[in-house]
Amino acid sequence: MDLNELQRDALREIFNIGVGRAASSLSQIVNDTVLLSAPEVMLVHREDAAKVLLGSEFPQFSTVSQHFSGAFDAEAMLVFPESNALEIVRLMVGPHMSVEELSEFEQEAMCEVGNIILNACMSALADLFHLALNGTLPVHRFGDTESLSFLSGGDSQMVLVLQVDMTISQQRVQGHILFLLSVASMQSLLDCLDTYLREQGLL
Amino acid sequence: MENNNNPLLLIVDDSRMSRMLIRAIITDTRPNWRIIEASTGDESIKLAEEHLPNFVSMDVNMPGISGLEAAGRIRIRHPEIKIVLCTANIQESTREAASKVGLHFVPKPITAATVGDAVAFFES
Amino acid sequence: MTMELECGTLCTVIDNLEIGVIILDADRRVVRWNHWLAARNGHNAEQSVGRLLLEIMPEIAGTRLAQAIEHAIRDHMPSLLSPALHGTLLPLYQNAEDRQRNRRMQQLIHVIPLTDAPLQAACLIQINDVTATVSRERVLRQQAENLRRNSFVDPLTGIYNRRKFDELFALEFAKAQRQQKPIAMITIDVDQIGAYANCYGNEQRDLVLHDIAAELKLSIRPVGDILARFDTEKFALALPGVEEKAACLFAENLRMRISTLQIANESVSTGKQVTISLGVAVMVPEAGVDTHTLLSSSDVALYQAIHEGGNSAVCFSVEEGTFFACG
Repeated sequence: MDLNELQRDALREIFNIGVGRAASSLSQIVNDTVLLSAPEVMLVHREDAAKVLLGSEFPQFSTVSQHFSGAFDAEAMLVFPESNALEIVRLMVGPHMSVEELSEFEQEAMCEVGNIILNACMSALADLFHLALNGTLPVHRFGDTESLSFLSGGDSQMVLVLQVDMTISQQRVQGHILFLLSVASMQSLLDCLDTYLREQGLL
Repeated sequence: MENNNNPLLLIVDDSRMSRMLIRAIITDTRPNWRIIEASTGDESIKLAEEHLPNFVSMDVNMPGISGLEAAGRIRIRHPEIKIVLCTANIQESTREAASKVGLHFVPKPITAATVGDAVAFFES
Repeated sequence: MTMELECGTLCTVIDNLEIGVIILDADRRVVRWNHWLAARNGHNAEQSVGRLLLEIMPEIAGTRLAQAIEHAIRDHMPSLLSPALHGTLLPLYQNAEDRQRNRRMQQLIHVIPLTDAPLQAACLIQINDVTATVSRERVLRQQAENLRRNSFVDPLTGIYNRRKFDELFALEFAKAQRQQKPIAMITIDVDQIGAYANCYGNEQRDLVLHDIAAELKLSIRPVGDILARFDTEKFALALPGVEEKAACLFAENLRMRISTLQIANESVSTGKQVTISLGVAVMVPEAGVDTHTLLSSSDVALYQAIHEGGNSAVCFSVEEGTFFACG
């Protein structure tokens, strides 16, 4: 299973609409320009998704996850290297702190940032495809690569990986958004996408 | 040979889908318009120079120079060209930046309504 | 009948929860407004049920809460509003006194989509009072801040310790590297401090070190320059943006300032007073060069100064690999 060129381009464009809206919400909160873009989208098998992330030099991650269900089921996760997540919270909340001090207070802030971004991405899909998706509340975790263990399950699952660039207070921070879907759910998502493209006269 | 008196629209977007969408809707509503496409800001400046389009639809977030910068550069040399920013970057600061330099702002997603809004600006 | 009973029981439960609950229908009108909320907001359930939330609390228009409600009702997406980013969004007060002083409680808000036909509920807003947590947080943070302050300051002299120096120096060094500007490093050693301590005792030695540190501190620029105590008698000073010639003049000037303090030292044969030796090195750091190169260069210069008999300032030219006296 792979994305053709048009599908990849379309998904990238739709997710950019999502993160664009999220950036607008975030900028209202911090009263400053926040830029968000998803320059890269790829579809990989679950075991390869870990490589994409673990290929980076960062052993510790901050993750915010939400489960979405409806026309397709997806576990959505915003993943930042821990230091980048701290940077975001620092820029949004203010005071400097180390990981050990990162309290519930800041974890909730990070949770909210993830919530805004993930909801916006899924809503962009739901809007354009005219479907209803339900989401759970976000959960925030810190941890090493093992806390991303959902990436190493046995059954065959697909992961839609979005690279995310965030600029806040003129600092650039990079991370990823992952959507973990079963093969069947991924197929439903692609069917929705093809229907949309067909409706627009592009297929 | 095409009729060179017909309006020429330059569509600038790094997404092929977006270019196709705009082209499809324009072809539908303004069949006589001529259309050229660019996928980067740099390319759009070159094409604008060569073909002197009447209208430009410009994306903002693209690899290389941003659409805002490209639009600014095109405007300096050719203030008569009407430019619409068509972007997922819907932030207030982008809207302000756009209106300051006399650009019209149209938020993505691209639909018949948003393209209609752009066309109304072009023809105003 | 059963349905009614269940509804009644449920509503009693909702009313008695120790959190704030607002339930809205699809038209954004209040279906349920629990006791907890009424006690802290001033509007009771009778005044609220059936009205638009925006009518009851006009100030939430345009806020993230209003967006989150739209998101829940229209898109079935739940939201979390953290106290760190929103704090006192709703006009809720713990008691009358707080209300008078306009001191709102700190809130953690969850906005959750509902699909419930009997109650016509479309959106649940749940509010937790986290005022206590937030103020405890502030206390802990203040304590952590104090600890941190104590952990980067040398207790005897009140200037930075080695750890803090390394941290700040790395930042300034990287800045110099980025901007391709010079950065000067001066290492300072108090001459013959061992002999001094043997003669006058450790307490007196500490007083001398304290005074020298104070004098050094007076001579640096308050912003940018980094002064630290490395170990017993060794100090370090980083001067961002300062070129070799100026750094040498500065080092020589420091040497003279300390000698004019005229701290008696009978333990040494020459001069009979406390003096310092200084090593200077300056570079415009190229890419790939690390702080260690500059630090060890100024160290080399310092050893040369000590080797020459102390009470002198020597510069090690990084480019040419040669020593010269600063004076």
